[in-house]
Amino acid sequence: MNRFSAILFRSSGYSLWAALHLKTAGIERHLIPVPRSVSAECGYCIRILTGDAQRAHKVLANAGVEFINIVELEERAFA
Amino acid sequence: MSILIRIKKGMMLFNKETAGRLYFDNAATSFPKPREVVDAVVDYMTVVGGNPGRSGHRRSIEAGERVFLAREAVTGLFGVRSPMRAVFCQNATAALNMAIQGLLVPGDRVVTTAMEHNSTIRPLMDMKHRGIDLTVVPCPGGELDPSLFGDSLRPGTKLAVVNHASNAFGTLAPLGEIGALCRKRGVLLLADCAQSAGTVPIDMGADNIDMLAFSGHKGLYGPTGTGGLVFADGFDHARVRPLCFGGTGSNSDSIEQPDFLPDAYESGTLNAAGICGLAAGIGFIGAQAGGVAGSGLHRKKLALRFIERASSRVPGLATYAPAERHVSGVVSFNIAGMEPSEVAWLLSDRYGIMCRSGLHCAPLAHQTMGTFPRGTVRFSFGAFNTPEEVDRAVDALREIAREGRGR
Repeated sequence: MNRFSAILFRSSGYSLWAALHLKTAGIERHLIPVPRSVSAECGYCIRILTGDAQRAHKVLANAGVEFINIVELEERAFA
Repeated sequence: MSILIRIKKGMMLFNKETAGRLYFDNAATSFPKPREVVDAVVDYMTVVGGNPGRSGHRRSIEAGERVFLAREAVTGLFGVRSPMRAVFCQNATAALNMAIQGLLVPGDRVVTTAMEHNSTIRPLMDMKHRGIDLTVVPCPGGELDPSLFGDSLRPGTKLAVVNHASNAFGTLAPLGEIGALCRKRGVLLLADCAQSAGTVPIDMGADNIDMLAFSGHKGLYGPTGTGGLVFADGFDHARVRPLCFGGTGSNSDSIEQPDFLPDAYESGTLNAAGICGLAAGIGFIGAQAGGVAGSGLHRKKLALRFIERASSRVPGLATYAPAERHVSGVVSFNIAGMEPSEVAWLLSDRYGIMCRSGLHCAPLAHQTMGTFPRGTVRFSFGAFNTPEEVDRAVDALREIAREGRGR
């Protein structure tokens, strides 16, 4: 089963802010709808490679972009 | 016929109809809007689409990105680090109400000035009727004296609300000095920058401004229906209770209002089209020679040219504030023996010169300057006005004044 990491935010505005910083840092990222299995949000979160999770954490912390959590998920999380 | 062709034809007709007219009412709303502002609005409506922050599809995400970039543009303009500290609403009035009504409770002590617009003094008067203690600091000659203002900041004062640039007379409050006094006395400062945003450089950190209300459709050249409230870095926004509650696209599993920025204050769908235009407007100002300062200097030069030429060539014309204080390009004047409304009507009807007469929603400022209840004629210059247009207006006023004296 393929796995990925999702960075969760309080609102979509924060995810957009984070996406810009991750882009600048060269981290592959995709804005995706928040998987129902982790949150009832109707906005979006950021999908990254699990191997990039620690680096993404550091980039966002340095930039002062608040996020709730980084969770590791299976592809079927959208099911 | 495609929509695009119809729009283009409409614009051609529009340009033909308005050729030769002069617009000196930029303090009401700037006109014309820059091409890039129009393009940004049309681009959102025809290409981007989507509701920002509400769905996970491409259009929603792109709309969210545009709104986020507008937040960055706004906070960058005012020297604030976090883009989340810009709250969008429909205009500066809504922003001032958000701050004043959201922060104050009966018993609070508040200081404001005698140059305020009704967008500030009316909500403050309403709060006074509900039990706040309100002090209005006099502004002799339209000038806010920092020492006089400082004397009013007695212990226990919670908030100072200060108009930065007068919409009626163009005078500028010394915001940096006022901010330093407020910070020293532990008083919060709410700055009404409806007229100064985009005209006067403002740094909320350096000027010790806690909250800043701005209009998007005046000096920033965005569409009407745009404006906002900016919270300074480090200011505890939780002190300001939201006035409007509802859907935000966040915390959707909760029936409680989110408590974080900007969502706490942005219930309901944003004016995304307008906000895209606002971002383009800020970009337009930034691209002018000298940026915001250069934009302001252009207007100030026009104001000074008008004052200098009109004072010497138009019989009976009087202006009210010292010429060097017209930093935002706003000039109020009267012609002896003529009503302001008559002068403005003749300017519009005979010469195609559009301006505003009356009290400009600032009765307090007019009382301060001795022009209440008569009011004044107001010229407010903008980025697209030229010295030649100013000269044409002076010639028109000269004819109007001569005619008035001959009656």
